[in-house]
Amino acid sequence: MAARQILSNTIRVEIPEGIDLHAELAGPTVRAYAYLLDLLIRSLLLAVISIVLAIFDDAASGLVLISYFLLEWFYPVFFEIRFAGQTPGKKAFNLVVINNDLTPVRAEASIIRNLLRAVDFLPFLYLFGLLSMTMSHEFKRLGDYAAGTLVAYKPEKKQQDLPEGKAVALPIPLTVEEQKSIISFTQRYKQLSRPRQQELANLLADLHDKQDDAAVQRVLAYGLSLLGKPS
Amino acid sequence: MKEQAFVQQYEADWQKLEAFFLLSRKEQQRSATASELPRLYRRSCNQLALAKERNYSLILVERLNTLVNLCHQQMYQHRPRFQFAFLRFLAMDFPDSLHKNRYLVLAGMVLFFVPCLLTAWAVALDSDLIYSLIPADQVRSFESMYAEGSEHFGRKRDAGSDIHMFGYYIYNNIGIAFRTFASGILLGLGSLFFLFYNGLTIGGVIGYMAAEGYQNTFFPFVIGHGAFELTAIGLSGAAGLKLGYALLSPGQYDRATALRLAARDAIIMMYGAFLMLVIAAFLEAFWSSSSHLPNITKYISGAILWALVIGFFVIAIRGRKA
Repeated sequence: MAARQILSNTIRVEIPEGIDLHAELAGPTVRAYAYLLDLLIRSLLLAVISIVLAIFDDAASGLVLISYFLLEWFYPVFFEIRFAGQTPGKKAFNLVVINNDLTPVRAEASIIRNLLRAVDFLPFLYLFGLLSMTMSHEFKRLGDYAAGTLVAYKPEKKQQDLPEGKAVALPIPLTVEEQKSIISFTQRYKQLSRPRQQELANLLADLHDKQDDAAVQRVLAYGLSLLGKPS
Repeated sequence: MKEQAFVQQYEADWQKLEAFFLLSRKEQQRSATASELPRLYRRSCNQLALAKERNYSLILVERLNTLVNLCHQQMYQHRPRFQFAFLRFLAMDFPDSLHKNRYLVLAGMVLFFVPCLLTAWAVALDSDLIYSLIPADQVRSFESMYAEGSEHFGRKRDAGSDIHMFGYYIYNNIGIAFRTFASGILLGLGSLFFLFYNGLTIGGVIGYMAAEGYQNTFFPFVIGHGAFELTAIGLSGAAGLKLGYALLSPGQYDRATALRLAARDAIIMMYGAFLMLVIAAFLEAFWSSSSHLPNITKYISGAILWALVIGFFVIAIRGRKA
C-alpha cells in the first residue's frame, strides 16, 4: 500500500496491472448515519416480524428471538455479501465495504467484521470503534482491522458539461498546475454560482484584462483551448 | 495529444464498459462485452496511466479511475463454490483448523473446564458458596426449574413451548459465544474473562445442584446438550485467544496483518462453534427438557454424544496423516 497524505482521506492501492487505484474513505460521522439508518430498518423489520408472528402465539416468541438474533448479527452480513458491500443504510449514504485491496468484500471478511461489532460497541455506544477509527489512518474500526476491510465512498459518475463557444489560445504559457485549474474551472463552472464564477475569473484579470461575464467567457475559452478544441 | 482528441479516440470503449456495468449480474454474463472485458480492462489501465502522466483533467482521470476500479472488482472477484462446501468444512477445514491451533484449543478448553470443575467441587462441598457467584433469586429460579414433577426441566414453569426455548437458546448462547470470540481482540483479555466467568457460574450451578439433591432432574437434563454447548464455549474462547495472541506476538508480520490472518483462521473455528451451538440448542429444547424419557436413556445418549464430540476433537487435533 502506497504512502498517503496526512490529512487526505484518499487511499491509493497498486493493482497487479501496475497502476494505482484510489478510493475515498468514509469517516466516522457518515458511517454513524448509515448505522443509525440500518438500526431503524432493522427495528422496523423486527417489529413487523413480531406482529405477524403474534398470530401464532406461543411458538412465535421463539421465532421472534431467532429473528432478533439473525437481525442483530447477520443483517449487515447478508446485505454486504448479497449487494456488493452495501447495507441499505450504506447505500443511502453512498458507502461501500471493500477489502483492503479494493476488491469486493467476501462472506468470510463480512462475517468477521460484523462479529467484531460486539467489541467495537464496548464499553457503550461504539466507543472502542470510534477510538479505533479516529486513531487509524484509514478510519478502520476494530472489526475492519480483523477482517481487512475498508469503508469507502462509492464513486459517482461525474457529469461534465463543457461550455459552448469558441476556444481562445492562452496569450502566455502557463505552468501545468495553472492549466489544470483553468481546465477544471471549465468543466465545473456550471456547479458554481454566477457571482463565484465572476469572482474566480476576475482573479485572472492580468491575463485577459476583462471583468465579470466577459472575464468568465474568456477563461472558459482558454479552458476549451487547453482541452484541445480548435480555435 | 490534447485531451479532447484522447477522449474522442477512446470514448466508444469507455461507453461500452459503462453500459456493461449498468447491467445486472445475469445480463452481464450474456452480454457480448463480457468476453471483451479483459482486453478493455487492460486498455483502460493503460489509458488511466496515460491520462495521469499527461496531466489530463481531474474529471477524466476520475472517470477512468472509476472504470478501472469497476473492471478490477469484476476481474478479481472470488467465485463462491458452494458444492459440498458443508461436507468439506466438516471433513477438512474445521478439523484442520483445530489441528493447526491445537495449543490454543487446549488452552481454551482448560481455561473454561478447570474453573468450571473446581467451582463445582467447591460448591458441592459448601453449597452456600453459590451465593457469592450468583444472585439469590436466580438460585431460587434454578431450583424451581429442576424440581421433581416439573413437566419440562430446565425452564421456568410459565415459560413457553419447546420452540420458544429453542429461540432463546439460539439467541442467548450463540450471542455469548460470539462475544467470547470477538472480545479476544482486546489482547485476549475479553475471551479470558468470558471463559473464566462462564466456567465459574456454570460450575457453581453444577456443584449446587449436586449438593442440594437435584441429581435426578438436573444431570439428565444437561448431559446431552452439554457435550456440544460447553465445548463450543471453550472453542469460541480459543478462537478469541487466537486474535489476542496475534496482536501480542505477531511474528514476522506487522500487527494489522497478523490480526487479519489470525481472524481468517479463527472464523473457521467459529463456524464450528456456531454449528455445535445450534445442535446444542436443538437438543436442549426438544430432547433434554422432555420429562417423559427415562433418565437412563438420557444418560446413555449423553455419554454417546460426549464420546462423539471428544472423539472428533481428539482425532482432529492429532491431525491428518500427510
